[in-house]
Amino acid sequence: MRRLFRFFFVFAAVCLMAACSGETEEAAPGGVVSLSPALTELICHLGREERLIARSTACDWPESVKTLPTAGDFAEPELERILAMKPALVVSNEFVNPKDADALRQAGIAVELHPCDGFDDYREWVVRMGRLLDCPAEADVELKRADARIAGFEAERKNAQTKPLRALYVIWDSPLLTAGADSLPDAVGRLAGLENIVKTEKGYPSISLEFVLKEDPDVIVWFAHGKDWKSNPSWHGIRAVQTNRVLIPRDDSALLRPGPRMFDGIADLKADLGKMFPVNEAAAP
Amino acid sequence: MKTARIILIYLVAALAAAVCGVLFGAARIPLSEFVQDGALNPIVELRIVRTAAAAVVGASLAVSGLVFQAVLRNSLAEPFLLGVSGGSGLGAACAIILGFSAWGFMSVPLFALLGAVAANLLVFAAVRKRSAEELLLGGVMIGTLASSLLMVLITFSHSHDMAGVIWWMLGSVQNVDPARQLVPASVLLAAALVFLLAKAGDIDLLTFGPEYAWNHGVNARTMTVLLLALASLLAAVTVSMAGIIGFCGLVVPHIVRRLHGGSHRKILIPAALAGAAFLMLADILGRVVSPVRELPVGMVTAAVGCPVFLWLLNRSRAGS
Repeated sequence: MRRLFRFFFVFAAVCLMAACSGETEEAAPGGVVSLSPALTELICHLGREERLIARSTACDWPESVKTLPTAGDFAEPELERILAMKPALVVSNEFVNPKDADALRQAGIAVELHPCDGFDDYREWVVRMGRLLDCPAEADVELKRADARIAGFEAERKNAQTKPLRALYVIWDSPLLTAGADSLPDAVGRLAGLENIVKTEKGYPSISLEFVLKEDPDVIVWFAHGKDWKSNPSWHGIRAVQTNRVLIPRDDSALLRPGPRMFDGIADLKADLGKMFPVNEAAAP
Repeated sequence: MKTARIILIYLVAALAAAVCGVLFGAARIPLSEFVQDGALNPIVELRIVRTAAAAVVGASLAVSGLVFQAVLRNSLAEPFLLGVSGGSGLGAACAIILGFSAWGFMSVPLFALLGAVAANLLVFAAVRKRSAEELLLGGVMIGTLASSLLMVLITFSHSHDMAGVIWWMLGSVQNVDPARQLVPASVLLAAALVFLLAKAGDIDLLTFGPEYAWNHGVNARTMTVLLLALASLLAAVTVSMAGIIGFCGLVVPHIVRRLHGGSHRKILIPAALAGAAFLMLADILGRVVSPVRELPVGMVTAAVGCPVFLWLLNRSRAGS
C-alpha cells in the first residue's frame, strides 16, 4: 500500500512539474500568429514580419522566423499557448479541428481561415493580407508580380515547340501518394511544362504502381524528401526510373507551399527539366 | 471426403485465383503483350510478385490463425493476439517518424519485424505462468502498451509521416521485395507447414485442453509455447511484408474447420491454400474496383469476408 502511495505521489509531482514548465510569451498588441508556412512567407514578403509573434513548427522560411516562438503545428493550434500570447489575429489555411477556431474567436481573437491550393487561392490571400495587415499597396504590387509571372509561364507553355512531358509527382513512396488533378504540384507543374498522369483523382491520392507502369510517365518529380527510390525494387520496372529521369526539386518547399517563392520554384523546375530533356530546352526560360 | 480430394479442390481454387491475379489488374493487357521483346511485360512482372506475395501472406495468416484457435481453444483467436500488430505498428512508426526509413526500402519492414518479435518476446518474458490464457492476457496488455506508444509517436509526427504510418497499417502487398522478403517468408511458411503436419496429432490433443494432452503424453506447456511462438513468427513476417491485414487469419481457419472438421492433419494444407486464395482474390478486387487508386487489401478482406462468414454461420446453424 505504501508503495502505491509513493507511486501516486511521484506521478502527481511529475504531472505538476510538467504543468508548471510550459513557456508563456508576452505578446505585442496587434500581433499575428501564423499556422501556415505559406502565409508566414507571404506576411514576411509583404514587409510585415514585425507583426508576427508566433509561427507553426513547419514555418521555416525566411530564416529569421525561426527565432519566433511556436504556437502549434501546421493547422493545429496549441490553444493555451496562443491564448497566453493574446494575439489580435490567427491565420491559417484550415484547422485540423475546426472547433479550435470557435474557441479562439470566443476569446476575442480574430481567426482568418482560407484554403490555399492554387493560384486563385494565392491571389485571394494576397488581397486578404493586404487588408488584414494594413498594407494594400504592397499587396497590389505582389498581386501584379504574381499575375505577370503566371502570364509569362503560360505564354512560354503555349509557345513551346514540344508536347508537355508526362509527369508523376511522388509525395510519398510507400504507399505511393501522389498529387492529383487539382493540387498545387499539378498547377505549378503545368506552368513548368508538365502534364500530370493522374487526371481523374483529386487531392493527394494513393495510387497503384500498376497504374504508373501503364501510364509510363516521362519524368518523376520526387517530393518524397529523404526517401530513396533506388532501394525499392517495385520502382525498378518504371521506365523513368530505368532511364534515371527522376527529378528532385532544388527546394521542394518552394513548389509545395503556395507562397511568394513558388514562382522561383517553377522557374528552377523548368530549368532542371530543360537540362534533363535537352530537346525541350527551347521551351525552358 | 478424403484428405487428398479436399486438398486438390483447394489447390485448384488457389491456382485459379493466382491465374486471375496475373490476368486482371488496373491495366488491360492482351495475352499477346505479356512478353515484349523477349522480356516479361513489367506490369505482368509486378502482378506475379504481388500475387505470390498475397498467396504467401494469406497462407501464413490462415495457418497462424488455425494454430492460435486450436491452442487457445477459442474460435475468436487470431494471429495478432500476442502483441504482433501493436509491436509491428510501433516498429514501422519508429522507422517512418524517426527518419530511419531514409536508410532504404527495407528499413520499415525490418523495424516492423523487430517490433513484432520484440513484443512477442516481451509477452513470453513477462508472463511467468505460460499457460494459454496467461499468454493471451499478456499479449493483450503488451499489444495495448505498444499501441499507446504508437499513438504518442503519431501525436508528435508530421502529417506526411502520419499518413505513411496509417497507410502502412492498412496493409498492402504492392511493395514486396521478391528476394529479400518473399523468398524468406515462403521458406518459413514451408518449414512451419512441415513442422505443424508432424505435430498435427499433438495439436488435436491440445484442442481438448492441456490436461487431456498431458494425459496422452504431450508436454502441453512446452508445445503450447512452441506453437504460439511459431504462429506469432509467421504473423510477424507477414506484417513486415504487407502491414496489418486483419480478418484472413481469423475467419479462413474458422470456415475450413467448420467445413471439414477438427483434424489438423486434414485441414492444415486446405487452410493454407484457402488463405492464399482468399487474399489473392481480395487483392484482385482491390486493384480492379478503382483503376487509379487501390483499395487497401485489409479493407477488402473484411468487406468481402464478413458477409461470407455470416452466411456460412447461418447456413450451418440452419442445418444443425
